[in-house]
Amino acid sequence: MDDELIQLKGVTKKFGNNRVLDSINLSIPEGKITGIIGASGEGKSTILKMIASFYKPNKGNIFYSKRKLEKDIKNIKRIFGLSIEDGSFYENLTVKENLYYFARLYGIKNKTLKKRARILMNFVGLYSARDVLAKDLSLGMKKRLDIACGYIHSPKVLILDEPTADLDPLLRKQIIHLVKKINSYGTTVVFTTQLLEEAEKLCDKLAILYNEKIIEEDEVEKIKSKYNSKDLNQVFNKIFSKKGRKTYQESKDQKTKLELKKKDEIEKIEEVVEKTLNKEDGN
Amino acid sequence: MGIRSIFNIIKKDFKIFGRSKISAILVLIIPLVVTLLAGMAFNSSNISDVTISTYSDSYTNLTEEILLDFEKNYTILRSNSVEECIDSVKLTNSQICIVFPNDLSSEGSEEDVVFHIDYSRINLAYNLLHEIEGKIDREASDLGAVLVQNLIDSLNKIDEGLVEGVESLENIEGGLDSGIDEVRGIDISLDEIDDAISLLEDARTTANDSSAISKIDSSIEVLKELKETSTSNSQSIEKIVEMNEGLSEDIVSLLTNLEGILEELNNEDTLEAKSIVSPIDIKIESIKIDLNNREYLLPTILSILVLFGGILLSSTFVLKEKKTKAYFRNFMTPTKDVVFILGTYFTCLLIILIQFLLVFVGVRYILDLNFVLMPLELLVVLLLSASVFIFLGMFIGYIFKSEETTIFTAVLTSAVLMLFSNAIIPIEHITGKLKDIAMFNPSVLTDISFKKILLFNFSFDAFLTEIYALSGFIVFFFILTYISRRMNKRNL
Repeated sequence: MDDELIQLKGVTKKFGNNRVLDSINLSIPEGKITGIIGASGEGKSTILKMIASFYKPNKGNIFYSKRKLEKDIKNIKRIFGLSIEDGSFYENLTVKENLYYFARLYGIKNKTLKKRARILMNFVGLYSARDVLAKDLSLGMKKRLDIACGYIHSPKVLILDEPTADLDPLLRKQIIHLVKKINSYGTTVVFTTQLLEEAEKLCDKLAILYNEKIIEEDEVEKIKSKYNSKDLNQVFNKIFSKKGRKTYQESKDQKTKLELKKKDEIEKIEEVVEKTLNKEDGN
Repeated sequence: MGIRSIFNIIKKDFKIFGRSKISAILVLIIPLVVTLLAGMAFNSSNISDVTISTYSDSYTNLTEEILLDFEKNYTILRSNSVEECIDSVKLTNSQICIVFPNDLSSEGSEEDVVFHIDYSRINLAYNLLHEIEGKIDREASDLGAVLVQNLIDSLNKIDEGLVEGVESLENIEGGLDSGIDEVRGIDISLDEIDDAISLLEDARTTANDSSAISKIDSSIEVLKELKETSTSNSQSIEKIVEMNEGLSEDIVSLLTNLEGILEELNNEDTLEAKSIVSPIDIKIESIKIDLNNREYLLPTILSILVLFGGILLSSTFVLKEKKTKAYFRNFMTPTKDVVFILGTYFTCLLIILIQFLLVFVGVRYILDLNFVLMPLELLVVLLLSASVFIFLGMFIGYIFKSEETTIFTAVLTSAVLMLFSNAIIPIEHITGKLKDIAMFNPSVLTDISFKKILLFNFSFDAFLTEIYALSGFIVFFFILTYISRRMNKRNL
């Protein structure tokens, strides 16, 4: 492809003796949204951190605009913006202070910084909460703050690691909307997710990570037609059954089972509390 | 970008530090409180509230006198046995056990006064031993002085007798001299006999009368017999003279010696009992006068504060930073590792400087300690020592993964550095090569420099070695911190 911005060629990554990725090849087109999808523990976050030059591959190379990443790390860091699953900001700083702090670390001058922070806070819908400490924000606001922190220096590539994890459907929609908005300004977006519906809605291109390797890499529609499937869920079930493994959903559920259980319990407790309160109001 | 980023990091650190208000107040106030408490607690130049346990089979008058003197300063606890006396020290009911012999008197004693000291409380033990031993020494000296005075009185009497003896000897010597002269006078009459014999012999040659010759011959015979007898007597007299002369010389020599002894006995300097008992007078003067324990302790307290403050503060800062969600993002920015290290370093340094500013204000206005402050020297040593401990703490903060290990190592490192400094036991007690190493303990270097500045007002020349050594440590620990931060990144 001519519009390839980032290329991974034969990339292998090990942590000690544990190999996480094996000879990965991946192309990320410029100005598009590329999704990396796979079950938990497959190495999705590792790919993102390698693209952002945080980890170095043990083997193979990563190219940005056909230039090796490691040759120009300082400038590369200005090109990439990153938002990780758990968020990466100071809980004891306000929204504005967090943005100012990271902007200065990117070398943005004070005059530009204030203007950019104000625009960005409006952009992610956090302007009214600009003086609120990050720890006091809701989960959805925290996600938006994290994306804003990663976007404060106007990177060419925004890397998002599971941006909608742990969010309810409404908040998820907000984040998806925000990602699309960012992409509409020409920013290349690379993100990971376990949610197939989300990937289908959001991605221009999809890479499927399975067993340390990228097994599929193409536009969503092309992948679906290749597997003669209506949606990505069917695609995954076919891939997984072919490989003799549990369905994707089952595999994913293993990780989230406990979380769901907790959520269920909380919902049940909330129901009981609500019923009790209603009764009391009735009395 | 570097300086601006460092300022940015410091600003962020202070905002976060300030938002945890109670922690911030405690961090700033605790050093002041510690110094003030220490200053109030050690506001004397003596050891106070000391209990002495004693035992004696029989307390003599002298023992009672000594104990009466002790009671002015200490609490006396009389034990029923030596074991009980020693046990009271072990159980910390008393600080020293003294066993007095049962025959302690002004005439002395065959047994010793025995001290039982708990050397595990090493500083107290030596101080107390020095003080109690000094008191008993003074008592013993007083007793010795009385005994020596008696001896001197006896010598004075002998002196008087000797003066009389010298006079008698001088009389004897005079009598002997005249006797010798008289005996030597007898010697002259022998020549006269010879003259008479030769005159008679001349007369015999000219005499014609046989009866006259016969009378002359018999006279000559008589004279010769007289001469022989006189010669024999003369020889005896010569011997007597020689003996008398020898005796006279001995008497003169004896007189000279006696006069010398008298002269020495009459010398007032050597006849003072005190100067005989303690011929060498010792006067102990403090190098720095008018200071008490708290002033002497202040440099050590300050060096402990900078040691613990530096290591614990910086390791906690790094630990907290590592635990924040933002730690990862910091690595993603183009800001260099050195900038982050310096940012945290300057934050800790500023906090320590504020702590010390509060401490010095407290010391000056609350404890009213009037040190002639040498601000430049003090600031340089404070900056250098704080830098060493901050970088050491940061290194500990970066190198360990878990919170527990980091805190444990930081506390342990501070404790070890304090143990091998002058704070608990003087480093002179350390043996072998460990002592040489301990001399370069940053805590010791800090303590020595603070003492030179605060107690003796020395300028830079006096602690150049310490400055160079501390600077070396800064470089060393900075490199370690840098490496450990880089290693830490790999573990994210």
